[in-house]
Parts: sequence; structure tokens; C-alpha cells
Amino acid sequence: MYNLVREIKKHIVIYALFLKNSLIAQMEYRFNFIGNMSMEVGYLFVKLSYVIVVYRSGVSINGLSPDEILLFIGTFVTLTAAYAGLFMLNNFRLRSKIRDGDLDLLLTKPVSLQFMATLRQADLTLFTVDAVAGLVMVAIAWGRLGIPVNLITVGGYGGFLIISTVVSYSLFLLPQILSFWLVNTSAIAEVTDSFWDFNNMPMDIYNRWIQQIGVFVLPIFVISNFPPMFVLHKMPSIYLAWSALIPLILLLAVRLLWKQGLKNYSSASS
Amino acid sequence: MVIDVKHLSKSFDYYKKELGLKNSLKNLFHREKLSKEAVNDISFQIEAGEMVGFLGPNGAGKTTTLKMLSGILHPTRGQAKVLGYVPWERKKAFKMQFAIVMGQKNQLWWDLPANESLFLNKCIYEIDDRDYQANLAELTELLDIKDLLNVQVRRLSLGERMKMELVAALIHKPRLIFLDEPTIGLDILSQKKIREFFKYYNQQRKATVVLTSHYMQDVEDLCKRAIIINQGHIVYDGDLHGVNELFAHSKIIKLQLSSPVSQDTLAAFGRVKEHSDFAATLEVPRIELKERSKAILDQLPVVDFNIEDIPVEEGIALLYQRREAAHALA
Amino acid sequence: MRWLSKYTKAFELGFQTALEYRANFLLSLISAAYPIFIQTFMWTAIYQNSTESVVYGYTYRQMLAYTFLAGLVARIVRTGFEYEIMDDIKNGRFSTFLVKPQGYFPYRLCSFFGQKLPGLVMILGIMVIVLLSLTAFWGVAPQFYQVVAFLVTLALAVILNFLIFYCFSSVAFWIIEIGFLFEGIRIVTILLSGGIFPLEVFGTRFLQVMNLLPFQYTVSYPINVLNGKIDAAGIAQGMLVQCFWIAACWLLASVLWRWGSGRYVAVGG
Repeated sequence: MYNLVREIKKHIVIYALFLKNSLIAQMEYRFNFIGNMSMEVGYLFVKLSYVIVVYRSGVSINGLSPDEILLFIGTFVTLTAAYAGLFMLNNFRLRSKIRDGDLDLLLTKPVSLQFMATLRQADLTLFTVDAVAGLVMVAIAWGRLGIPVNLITVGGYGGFLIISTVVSYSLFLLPQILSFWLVNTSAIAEVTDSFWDFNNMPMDIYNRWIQQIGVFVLPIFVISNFPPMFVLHKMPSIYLAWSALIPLILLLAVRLLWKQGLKNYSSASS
Repeated sequence: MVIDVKHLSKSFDYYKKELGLKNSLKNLFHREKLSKEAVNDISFQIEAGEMVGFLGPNGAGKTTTLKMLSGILHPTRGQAKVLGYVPWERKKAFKMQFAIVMGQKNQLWWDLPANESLFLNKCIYEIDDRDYQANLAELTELLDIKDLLNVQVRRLSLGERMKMELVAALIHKPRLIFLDEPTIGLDILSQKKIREFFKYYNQQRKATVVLTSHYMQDVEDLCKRAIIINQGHIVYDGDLHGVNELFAHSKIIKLQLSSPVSQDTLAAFGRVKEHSDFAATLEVPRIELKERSKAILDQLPVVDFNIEDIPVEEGIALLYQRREAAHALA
Repeated sequence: MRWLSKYTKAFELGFQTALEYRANFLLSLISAAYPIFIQTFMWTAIYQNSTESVVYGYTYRQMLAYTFLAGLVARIVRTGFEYEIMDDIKNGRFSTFLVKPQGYFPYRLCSFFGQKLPGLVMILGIMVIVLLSLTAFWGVAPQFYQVVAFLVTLALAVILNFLIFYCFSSVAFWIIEIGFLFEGIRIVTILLSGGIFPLEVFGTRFLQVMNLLPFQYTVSYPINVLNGKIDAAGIAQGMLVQCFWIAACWLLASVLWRWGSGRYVAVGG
């Protein structure tokens, strides 16, 4: 037990160093930094345009008022910060790391290899742009909806954000792990990445069928729908149970597939 | 005993690839699986504090062996104990005690000053502050790169970068060090400096060092013992003097000529290995090197003149022939 | 006609590149299909919940047709040579054009059309399928003159968008490390062109500003020609405006590029 706590502490310290190092490295190329920021702001405008469409039409969509939809979209933008800022880059680079044998040195380090290989790079510009914009949207919607600010609502919302972050980490890492077996997975990377945008609107715009698939089969909707559903008291108890299970299931799946892939790496490669 | 290897083998599977549409369709259903033995039934032991050189041509299985001993690769057959651990189980306690440096791979962050990467290693290897400072000071002093710690790695020269890589690898005071072609691509001066460093380091810290190289000089300077590996087999394991005799028996002289010289004229100075109009390669006995060189320079229209060791590949071929001959006799 | 051959060569090269990356192109079509999917469901929900049958001046059918066509038209006019131009400027390939009897602009244009062609054929094919199925479902077919006018405006739109991005690319003369700047410009341009939602969605004041800019003539206007939202007189007028913008952007591009390459030569590339 003591050892486990110590290991977790060590990994947290190292993660903080990863973030710091990524930031310093990024500052080295200042114009790249501005370029990347402008890209993220551009994408942010697109996400905001959905908000405008909803507000200016003034209709409730399948029982969701425009303010409630703003809460969903704000949550989506906030979580995009975690996905685009902390995970995406690593996911994209995993393929070349495996192909070029860059895991070799990482394998000899007394730290979890999955941790080193999937969390080492971060883009804090993207993270900051999206996190600030997303949380502002959430705060506006929260105020306009008159949701009380207390431990249960804020704490619950925060807790669901963490669950969603874990789900986005695992769900979008899973297809990338296939790179251990397949040589060319750039196709997979492209298709799964644009999958992320399915959360741009609340899942209520889809029919029940698609909703069930998106929650239970390909749990993409879990990511940005569950946190606002919780504070809006729109969460069926089956979803509540599912939200406790799904991050564990996905993490376990990632872990098993990763181990299997690694076995392949160290027995097949040269 | 630090390393104990018994009947270790490693083979890679690959698929036969034939060109043409018909064959690619055929391959869709059935692919012919081929297997290559990279390392074939090798056994050896290494004691604490030893410095051992792995010699062999490219693709002989040196790197594959090192990768198995450091836990990166699983063997196909056989056993190994390194520092009392089975390396490919990758136990944390094992990882804390060794280091591997690969000449063609780097662990330092490209866009950061090296000291950021070193500090990261401090946390990864759980080194306490005082040990870290003392060790960092000593290593950078020895390698003479103290002033470069705050420079971005991408701005360093190849030699400086390699020295930084060494600091990063040794910062946790490993008991066992694997070096895979540590001097590859470096200039002679950096090579020499790095060799001196390891000599000193091995004596001071009593660390065990296993080194692969295809530069004879690396091994000659550092190791008493050499293991020569060719096509996955160990062809020689023992005192370096034994090998040295083979390699040092003769030298290679490369000549650029201003006018063509006939093969017969050249043959008077040594065994002609290669010959064209304006260039020639001669093999001469080492003990007569001085006189022969002098004679060549005096009597031939020489433009350029170079003395080299026999390439490792050739030396090994020689060794191999000798072993085969011994088998045949027995 | 020998002077022409060097430009047909650039066209050929572009064409070959496009064929080489056809797998990527197909994939990008798949990822372009996602937003259309999402928007279709969103509009369906909005029209179902709205008491009006016309929202933002579009009927449900017009809106769905707009959504499908916007995705496809935005893909047709899309450029993508910005990073190539940046590389040319950075590694000095551009300077070889300064001494060769071949202009960089026509070289780019030909290469662009070459790269465009294979994708264009495919997208127009998809478009025909979309239009036929919309006709089959709703029984309203676009008039023949609308289809012809659409194709003409589409061609003008492709040229206009090429020029707009040719202007943007000149940034590379001043800044070398750009990162994903062009990606940011591209996504905002698509939004302003009406490539995601009809521009009416953002209100009249926004539309007034947009009327002073060329962007809507690359996506929004061609679609509305086909969609039947613009009458014959409006179509003719719009084409004139397109031609005006093409001339204006051409002028701007040549000013920017002369300025930029002057600086480039002065600095020594």
C-alpha cells in the first residue's frame, strides 16, 4: 500500500515535469505557438457557431432549452481541452514511436511504459484556449439556469468531468494501440479523431437507437453528455451506474490490449 | 556473477513478399512465413566489474543480444539472469540498477536544455537531491561539458550530445552498463575522450560494462575480454590478446597513385587486395610496416597514403575459417 | 505551343500527387461526412420543435439540401497548397522561379487544377447522387438553368478561393515558422463562406459585413443558386460580383507577392 502511494506520487511529479518540459519546448518556436493558437481559436469559432444557431432559433430541442444546450456545448469545449491538449498528440505519435523503435529506451525505465508513451507530450496552448472558453460557457449557462452552486452540483459536475477525461483517454487510445500489429494506421488516426466532434451537440438530437449505441456500445456520448445531465437532473439511474463502470472497463481494455501489443513488440520486432 | 546466459536464442518471423498482383492476391490467403535466427544458442558469463566487448559485423546479433539482456526483447529460447533477475520480466528493482546507451537513439528532449532531461531522470530513478548534485558535478566534470547543461540539445554537436546522453544514462549510478555502438559517427577526438571516460569510470565505480562496437579500437582500448559474434553464433570468447594477434598480425595500406603501376610492381611491397589504375590496397605484416611504408613512399608515385586496421568483418572471417578448420581436424 | 508544355507538366504532377494520396482523400471525405451527419440531426430536431415551417428563411428541405451541398462545395473549393508554398519559400525553391522563364503563379495554378481534378470528379459524382435522391424523395428537381448557372458559379468560386488563399500564403514571406496558422485561417474562412451553416443564421448585421467581403461567393452563393433561393436576375448579379472579387483578389495577390518577393530577395532568402 505504501509502495503504491509512493509510485502514484512519483508518477504525478513526473507528469508535472512532462507538462513543464512540453511548455518550454513549445516556447522555443514562438510563431508555431501563435499558429497553433489561431487554429484552436478557429475551431472554437466553429463550435460556438452551433451555440449561435441554437440561441437564435429560440426553440427547445427535444426538451432542452438553449441555455441547457449551452451547458452541453461548454462541457464539450472544456473536455476538448483535455483531449486535444493532453492526449491527441501522444495518440498520433504512438504509431511512429512503435515503428521507429522509440519504445526501446522507455522500456528500460523504472516507470510505467504506457504512462511514458501516452502522456509525455502536451500542448498547453490548446489546453488553455479550450479550457478557458469552455469553462466560461459553462459558467454562463450555469448562472442563467439558476443551478445552485454547492458541493453536490459542483463536486458532482467535476467528478463527471474526471470520468469523462478518463473515458476520452482510453477510448481514443484504444484504436491507436493497434499500431503494434498494423504498419500503417494513419487512416485509423484520422477517422477516430474526427469522431470526437460527435459530442458537439447533446445526444438528444439523435433518435433513441443512436443514443443507446453511443452510450453503451461505442461510449462516445458518455464524454460530454453525462456531466451536464447530472447537474440538470436528467440522468436515468442506469446511466449513473454505467458512468461508474465504463471508465474502469475502458481502462482495463486499454491495459490488456497494451500488454498484448507490447508482447508483440518485444517478441516480433528486431 | 552479474550476467549468466544459457542457450539464448532469438528468431524473427517475417513473410515472404513476392511482387505482382497475382502474388499479392495469393498472399491475402496464404503467406509463406520465414524465420531468421538473429541469435542462435549463445552462452556466456560475465563477472562483476568486468569490461567485455562484443565484436562482430553489422547484423551479427550484437544489438539483439544487448536488447534481450536489458529486457527490451523476449528471447525465443534459452535463459538469462542479469543482476539476479530475468531481464524480460522487467522488474522495477532490476531497471533501477542498469543503464543502456544506444548510439543511434537518444533519450534527451531535443528542444530542451539537457539539464531538464537530466532532472526528469532524477525523478524517474528516485535519486535524492544531494546524490544527484554530486553525481552530476562529477560526470560533467569528467566529460568536460559543465558549461553546456543549459544549452538546447539540438544546438549541441554530435559528440557533445553523446556525452550528455552518457550523463543521462549514468546519473543513477548503475551497477551494469550496456553500450551499443556508443562512438558511432563521432570524430576521433570525441571517441577517444569517451573511451578514456569509461576506462576511468569502470575503475572508480567498479561498474560492469558490456560494449558492442564494430570499431576494433573501442574494444582494444577498453576490454580485456572480447566475445566475437557472427551470424548469431559466438565464434570466440576469451582474452583480447588472442584476437589482437589476428587483427594486429597485418595492416592495410591504401594508396592513391599519380600514374598507373602494374600489379607485379605492387606485389613486391605486400599482398595486393585491390588494384585499379590510380588506387591500390595492400596488406602488409605489422612488424614490417615501417620499412614497407618507407619503401612504398620512396619508390611509387604516391599521392595519398593511409594505414588502416584490417576491418573487423575480415578478421572475423579469418577467425571463423580457423574454427572450421579446427572442427574439421577434430 | 512549347511554352505551354511546362504548365501542362505542373498540371500532370499535381494530378499524380492527388492520385497517390487518394486513400487520404477518401478518408477526408469520411471525416467530412460526420459534421453533415450531426447537422442533419440537429436541423431535424430544430424544425420538429419549431412552430414555424421556415427557419432563418429556409424551409426544412432547403436547409437539408444546403447542409449536404455546403459540405461538398466547401470540399471542392478547398485549397491546400499553403504549406507547399511555405516550403518552397523556406527551402529556396521559390527563388529558382525568379530566374526561370516560368511564373510561380501559373505554375501553382496548374498544379492546383491538376490536384483538384480527381477529387472534383468524385465529388461531382456524389453531388449528382445527392441531388437525384433529394429529387426522388421530395419530387422537386432544380431547373436546368439553375444547374448550368451553378456549375459556372462553382468554377468561378474555385478560382476565387484559389486567389484568396494565394493571398494568405504570402504570409510565408514574413513568417517562416507558422505551425497550424493556415489551418486556423481555413476553418474560419469556411465558417465565413457559409460552408457550415447558412450565413442568415448569424443575423442581418453579420450579413451586411459579409456582403463587403468575398468569402460568401465561394460556398454560400453557388449553393443558393442551385437551391432556388436566388432568382435569375440575382444569379447574373452574383456572377458579376464574383468576377469583381476575382479581379480584386488577383490585384491584391500580385501586390502582396511583389512586395513579399522583393523583401525575400533583399533578405537573401
